[in-house]
Amino acid sequence: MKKKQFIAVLLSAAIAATLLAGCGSGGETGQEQEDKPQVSGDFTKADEPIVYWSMWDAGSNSAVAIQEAIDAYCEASGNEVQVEWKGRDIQTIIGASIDAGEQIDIYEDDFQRLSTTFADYALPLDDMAEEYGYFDKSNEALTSAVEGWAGSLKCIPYQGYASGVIYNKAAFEAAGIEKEPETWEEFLDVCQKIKDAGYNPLALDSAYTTLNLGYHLARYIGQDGVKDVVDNGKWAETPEVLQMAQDMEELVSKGYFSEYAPGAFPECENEIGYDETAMIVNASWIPDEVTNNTGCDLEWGMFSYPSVEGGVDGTEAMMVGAQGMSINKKSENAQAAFELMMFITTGEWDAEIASQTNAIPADPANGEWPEIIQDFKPAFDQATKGYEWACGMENNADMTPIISEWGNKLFGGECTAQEFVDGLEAASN
Amino acid sequence: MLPCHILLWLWIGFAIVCVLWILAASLSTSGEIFRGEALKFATGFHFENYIKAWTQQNISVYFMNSLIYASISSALLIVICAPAAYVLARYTFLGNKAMKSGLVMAMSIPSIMIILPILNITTALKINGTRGLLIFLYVAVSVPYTVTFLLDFFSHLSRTYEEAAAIDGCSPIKTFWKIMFPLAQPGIITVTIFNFLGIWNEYFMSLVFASVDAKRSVGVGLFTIVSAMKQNGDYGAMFAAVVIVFLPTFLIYLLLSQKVIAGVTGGGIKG
Amino acid sequence: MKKDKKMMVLFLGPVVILFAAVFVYPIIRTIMMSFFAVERPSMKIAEWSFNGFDNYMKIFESSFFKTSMVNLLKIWLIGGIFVLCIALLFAVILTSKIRFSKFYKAAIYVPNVISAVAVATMWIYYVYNQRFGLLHNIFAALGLEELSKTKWLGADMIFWAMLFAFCFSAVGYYMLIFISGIEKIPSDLYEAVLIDGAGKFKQFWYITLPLLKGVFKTNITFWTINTTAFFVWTKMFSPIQSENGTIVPLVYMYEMIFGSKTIRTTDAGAGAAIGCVLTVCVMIVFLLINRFIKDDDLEY
Repeated sequence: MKKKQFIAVLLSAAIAATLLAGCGSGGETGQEQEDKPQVSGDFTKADEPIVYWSMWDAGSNSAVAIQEAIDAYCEASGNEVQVEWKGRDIQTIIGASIDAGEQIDIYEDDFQRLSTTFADYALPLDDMAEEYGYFDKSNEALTSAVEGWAGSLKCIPYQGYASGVIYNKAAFEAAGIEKEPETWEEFLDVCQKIKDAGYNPLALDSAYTTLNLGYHLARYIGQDGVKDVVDNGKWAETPEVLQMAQDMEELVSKGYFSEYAPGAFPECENEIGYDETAMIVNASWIPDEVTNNTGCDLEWGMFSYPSVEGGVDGTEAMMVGAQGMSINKKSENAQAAFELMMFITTGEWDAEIASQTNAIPADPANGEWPEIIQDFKPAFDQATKGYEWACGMENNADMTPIISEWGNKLFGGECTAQEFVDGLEAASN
Repeated sequence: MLPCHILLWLWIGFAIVCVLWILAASLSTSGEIFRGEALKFATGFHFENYIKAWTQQNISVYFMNSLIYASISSALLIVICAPAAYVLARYTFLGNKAMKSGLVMAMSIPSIMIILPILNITTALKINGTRGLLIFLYVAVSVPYTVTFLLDFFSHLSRTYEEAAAIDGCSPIKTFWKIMFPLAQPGIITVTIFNFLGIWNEYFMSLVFASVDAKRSVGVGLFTIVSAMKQNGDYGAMFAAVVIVFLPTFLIYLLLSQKVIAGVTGGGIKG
Repeated sequence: MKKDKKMMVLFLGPVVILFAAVFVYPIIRTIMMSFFAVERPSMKIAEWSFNGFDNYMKIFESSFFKTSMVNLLKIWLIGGIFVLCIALLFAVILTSKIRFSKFYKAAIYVPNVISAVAVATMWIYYVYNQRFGLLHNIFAALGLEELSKTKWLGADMIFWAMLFAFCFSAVGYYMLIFISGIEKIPSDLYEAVLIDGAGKFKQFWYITLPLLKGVFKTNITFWTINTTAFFVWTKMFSPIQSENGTIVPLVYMYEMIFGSKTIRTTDAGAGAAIGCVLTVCVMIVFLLINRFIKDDDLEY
């Protein structure tokens, strides 16, 4: 099998160091360069450079890490790769560019968008993946989500994220909490203890309001229920919406949110780094962000969003997602491009990129998660059911800003649960 | 007079405080900035922010692009628009009035009205993300403003110059370039300053049509930097990038401010 | 004057060609497009399918579009009144033989030469910050606890925060145009009034203001053009996802055409319809300006 030849990995500090010096990736400081993975094996020769349009901004940590992987690939395969760091603009230009016949082999975006909006542009990768043995080296929850949307494997997910309640372990210790809460009641109890210990229990930035609302509502009525509410304007007809809003109202009225919540990203999440606030409902990128922003050095924990009484979903359901890479169906270098994607998203370089960006490795064989999110793994592993982004709360583009606005009022204590429901009901009619 | 001075100083002082803070933040770490301790420099001056902003990013490329776009476009605009404005101001012919009002109308057309079909053509021709396209668009889009501006200027010049030239047997084309064009110099300088600044800081067209990192102008480029540094949580370097983008235009303005102002206030804008 | 055909063709030709290529043709095509179902701007006419007023129905049913139009109207009207008033006030002060007027003019104009991205970054990350921002500190120093805790970038205030930041930058330009208008008013007019014993305020009311009618028209026209192009400030204040407080038609159209985090099916036809609606609005504004502010073209 091809995979074995490809992944014939040699790890030698000395060789890796020379290799990197030769590749000249730049930007990165010297200290980490010793144990960069070196991969050798058979590669399909590409006659022309592989053109790779990335969703990252030039100079961001992800871009720097991926560039190193690409340099290593070039060295190992003798192929040339042309990377364009498109940044977030990629989603606005990719369709038009491919239509126009632009030579693009690989392009990236959120894996869900790649499997839906851009699915028509992508080459189905099932056969190549089968031959390569990719399905043994990938996270099934993510790949099956792709297949569910697109009907076939239209993209390769990587840089996955998990979500739930992320917290500062020191705050839990200070409040004498030994067990992570599983039900809403236990959660409220935890909040109170944390508050008594002198911390703000919860942080929230306005960019993630819909996520907070969505998670809680999905616990009551499931993701499909949430979508039904936002798509068909069933705010008032669904009693769980009011229940959800009242639960949130209770958090606010008991003073469980930081006084700055909902803040302007990333102000409020940074409070965790200042040791002022203990928890945040968000995703696994929080530790990396907060550490970079505040220079803090915390131990981080995460538990699945608590279950609610009479709810459809329990802690087994978790919003998970990833970025993805697709191959343009017009690509003439598909096999080489696929190997490059494998090079980046599986094996050693996957682990390397994950550790540089503090993200979850895409390859389950890389069982070791970066230290900062190490303890998120049990919560992630116990999840058996996936939610989409914001658990369906952002399913209706026209409603998203309105939901977000009302949510911010609710979390800011500027409206009651009933006003929240009425406002959204009125807005969706 | 004192209340007037105080009022103006409040306005200007506000801006100065902001700029000073940005300078301080660009020399601090993210943690210091978010703690509100940017002015304390507890850990010293972090000049490495500037090195990071400069080396990890394409700021120099963005500058070069903006310089190319702005200077070539505003030069071309003069060569194209001054003669047209002259003809429209001096000769009566069928359609003169229609053309003038057409230009004024075009000035008020929101750019959103024209970009879709242009995008259609440029994608078909595969010229998106080329410098030539951007220069062409900047020129074309600024034509109505430039012609209208210069038109007013030419119509205020005395006809005696041309009459004298005609008696000397000078052809109309030669008359224009040798006599009338130099006479319109103040107006030309003014409109060029505005075109230059407008194109230098232009954002929307550059965003839509120059999607390649290497062809981005300063505005879109800085936007990219800001979001990259935000992703990295490196706010010190982000502010360093802001300062790097801010300084050159500001320094040039310090030298030229009186010309710019004289341009707006003394220019051909009808009052 | 004798006409020279060759010269006219030579001199007017390039402008006419550019004008046709970048204005006439695109405008006609955009108008057509607004009546067709067109998914992506790159689609050929053959791929379009006629759908009557569906695009218009779609955008008028979208509450997001309505919000974007209301926001734009607020920017134009409230921002316009604010900017023109401050600009006029500064212009009057700076033409009243005040000392250092050159410096003041230059300083107030500065934001116009700086990239809006840089200026907006300053506002967002410094001025409006809740914890260490300039406004927070000013209000805290004045003992206004409540005000110092305002969430300037929260849903309630973000529109006003954005509008004020935008206006602060804009004032300089309109101020300079007012100054140019005031400077053109001959001083003997003022002297005549001074003999009559009129005060400063009367001078302003009876001479300056009426004679500035044309300048007002220029300024309102520029302000209108300026605000319809409102884009980058929204992008800066809501970089990840548009929200009600900051959305404007141009941004909404951009997302319609290219897609966004939440808009997953693009619709260039609806984008074209937005363009047409906005253009019609602008035309109405210009008609009204021309109707109510007669361009007397005062000779003085």
